[in-house]
Amino acid sequence: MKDNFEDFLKKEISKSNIQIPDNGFSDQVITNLPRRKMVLAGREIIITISSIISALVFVLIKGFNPFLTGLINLFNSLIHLKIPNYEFVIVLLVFCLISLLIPYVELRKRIF
Amino acid sequence: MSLSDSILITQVILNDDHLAFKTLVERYQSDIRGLLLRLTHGNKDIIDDLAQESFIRVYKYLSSFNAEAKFKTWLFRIAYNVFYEYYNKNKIIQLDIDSLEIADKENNNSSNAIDFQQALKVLNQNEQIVIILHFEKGFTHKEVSKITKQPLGTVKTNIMRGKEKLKKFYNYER
Repeated sequence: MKDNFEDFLKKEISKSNIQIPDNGFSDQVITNLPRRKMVLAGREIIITISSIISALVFVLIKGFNPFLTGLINLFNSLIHLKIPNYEFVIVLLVFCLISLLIPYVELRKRIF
Repeated sequence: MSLSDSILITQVILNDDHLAFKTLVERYQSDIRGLLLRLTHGNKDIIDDLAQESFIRVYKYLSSFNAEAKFKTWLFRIAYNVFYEYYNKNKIIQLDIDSLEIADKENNNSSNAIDFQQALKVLNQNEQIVIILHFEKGFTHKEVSKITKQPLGTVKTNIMRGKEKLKKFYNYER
């Protein structure tokens, strides 16, 4: 059931509707904004350091050659329909998942 | 073409874009200052300070805003908190409906001469805020509940009580 008093009330409100011009208010707000502190969160520091160490270890143990060999073998097995090296496939999948998941979570947290 | 709130918020969070934040302020300053003007019963001296404090808090805590609620709802929540702190420090006097002199009481058109701002003074603080948010600002009951942190049932009760008092104030008999 429609409430006639609500319609009446809305009409009364619209009669005294308040529209306030800016008149420099927003400029004043911007002038008084506090400075943002550039603080790296502990979590970001750990991720950054871990990534650097991982990259260094990868280079030091000459991990590039086995990685490239594994990739070539994988593609060869796929082309020639041979049974692939499942261990390498699983490691590759996990690596891709983690590589994509962490940035996605961080970015999602920042934007939303 | 104006940018959406989400895009402006992203620019402020990621790039500390003051121009984007200024656009947000310009977009909502009339609503916020209007709300505060109502709640302080037309005290123009204080509303700019309260509104500025509200927007500064928005800027400081913008990174904690999530998309579960609309930005406008969150902004009004902050403005309401700022007002509530001010209200607790400086109690705003509520007028008793019977003590008000209604001009031209015998005239059927008397309600036209009565400003809504006067009418708000007969409500208590909880009733005022829900009536303003729901009927003037157009928020749903659920959004009003989020802004004022009152349970949904309490919001509906306060709206009902507020309406009854306003009916009496406006001498509404239809």
